[in-house]
Amino acid sequence: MTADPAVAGDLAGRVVLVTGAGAGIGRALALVCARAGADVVVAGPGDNAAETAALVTADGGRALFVRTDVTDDGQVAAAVDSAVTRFGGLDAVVHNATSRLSSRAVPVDAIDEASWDDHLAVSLRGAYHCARHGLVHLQARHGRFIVMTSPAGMEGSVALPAYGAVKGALRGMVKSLAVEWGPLGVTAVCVSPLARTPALDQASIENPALEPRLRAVVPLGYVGDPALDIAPVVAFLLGDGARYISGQTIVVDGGRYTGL
Amino acid sequence: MIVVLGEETAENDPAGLLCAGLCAVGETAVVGLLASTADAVTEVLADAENRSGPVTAVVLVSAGSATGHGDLADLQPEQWRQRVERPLQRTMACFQATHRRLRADGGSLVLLLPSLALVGAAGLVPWATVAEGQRSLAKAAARAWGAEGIRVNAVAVPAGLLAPSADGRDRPGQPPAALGDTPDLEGQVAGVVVSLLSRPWAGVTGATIAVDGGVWMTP
Repeated sequence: MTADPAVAGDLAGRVVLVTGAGAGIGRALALVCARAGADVVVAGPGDNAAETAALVTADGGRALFVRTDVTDDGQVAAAVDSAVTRFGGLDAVVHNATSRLSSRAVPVDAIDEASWDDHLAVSLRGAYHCARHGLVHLQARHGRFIVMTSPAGMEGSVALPAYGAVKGALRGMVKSLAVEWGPLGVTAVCVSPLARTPALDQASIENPALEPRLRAVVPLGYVGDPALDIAPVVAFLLGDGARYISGQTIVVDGGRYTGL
Repeated sequence: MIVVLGEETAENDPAGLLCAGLCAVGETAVVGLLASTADAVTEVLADAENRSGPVTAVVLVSAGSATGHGDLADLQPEQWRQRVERPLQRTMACFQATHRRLRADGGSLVLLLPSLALVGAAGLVPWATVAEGQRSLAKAAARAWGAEGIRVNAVAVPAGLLAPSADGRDRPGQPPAALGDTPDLEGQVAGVVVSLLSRPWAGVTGATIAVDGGVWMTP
C-alpha cells in the first residue's frame, strides 16, 4: 500500500477504531489513519485483522488488534473498552464491516432468512453496537462516527438488493444520529466509496463484465484504490478540517453517482 | 383490488385509515396484517383475493418502528431487534409475497414512509433506519420487476400520520408546510395512492413522492 500522508491530514493524538479492518478499505483506513498519526484499534473477527495491525506497526504506527465480531454486543463493548484502556480514549469509530455475503448476487425473491439476517447483523446491528458503546467516549472528545455505505444503498441494486437495503438503512441511521448527537458534539457521516476491494474482486470473478462496465460508467475512468482514493477522504473526515460536516453522505466514486 | 398491509403495533391504525380513504373514492381495498415470512404474507394476500377479487396493488404501511421514543444509546438490544430488524424482515416478506402475487399480471407496490426519515431527527433513528432500508429495497425491486409490469414506489408522508407520537419529534426550526395544512391519510394521501396506481403513472417506478404539504423538499 502506498499513500501520501500529507493528503490524510493530521490525526496525531486521535484514537480511531475501525471495524472490518482485516482487508480492503478497512485495512487501508487503518494504515492511512496510522500514517496520519492516529492510534488505531483494528477490529475484525479474523486473523487478517491481526495482520492489518502488524502492518500498521511495521509501518511505524501504533495499532491494537481486538478480535471483534460486530454482531456481538459484548465483543464491541470490549473493543471499545480496549481502545480506551490502551490509548486513553476514543475519538472516532469507523464502521466498515459488512456481511461476507455482500458480493453474492441474490435477487429479492431468493433472499433467504439466514442471509438476510446476516446482512442485518453485520451492517446494521454492528453499527448499532458501535454507536451504543462508542457514544459516551466520543462525546467526551467531540468525536466522529463514520459509517461506510454504498451507491447500492442510494440507487438500489438488482444483483445485491440485501446489501443495498442495509447500506440504505445505514444512511437513514446516520442522518438521524447526526441530529440526535449534534448537541453532544459528536458528528455522524456516511461515506459511499467505489473501490477495488476483495468483495468487488469476488463480484468481478462471478460477473466478468462488472469491472469493464464500472470503468465505463465512472467519469474519471477507473475504480478507486482503497488507500489512495478512499482512505484519505475518511482520514480528512476524522480531522479538524471536517468538524462541521455531519449528517451527510460523502460520495467517493470518481463522479459516478451524482444523484444527491 | 388493493391490499393495505399494516402492523398490529401501529398506534392509530394508519393502514385502516388509508384503506377507508381508498374505499371512499370507489376503490376496492382491504386491510391485511404484515407477517415475518413471505409464505405468511402470501396467505394474507390469497385470503384477501378470495374475499375481494384479484390483487392489483399492495400498500405497505410500516409504522411499528415508531413505537416508543428515546435516544439510540439508550435502546436495548431487544428493542433494536423489535424496532429495526423485525420491521425490515416483514418488509422483505412483503416484497417477496407481493412479487409472487403480481408477477403474472403486473401491478404496484407502494410504501408509505415518514418524510421526516428522509432528513433525520432525534429519537427517530430506528424508524429512519427502517425507512431508508425500505426505500433502497424498493428501488432494487423496481429495477428488477419493471419488465414484469410491476411498479414499486414510495410515498413520504408526515410522520405524525403514521404514528401520532412522532409529532413531537419534528426538527427544531423545521420549515412550515408550504401548503399550510398537513395532508390527511384518508383524503389527500389516499388520493395520491389511487392516482399513483393509475395508467398515467405507468412510467413512474423507483420514485419517492413527498406528500407532506411541502415541508421537506429533499434533493
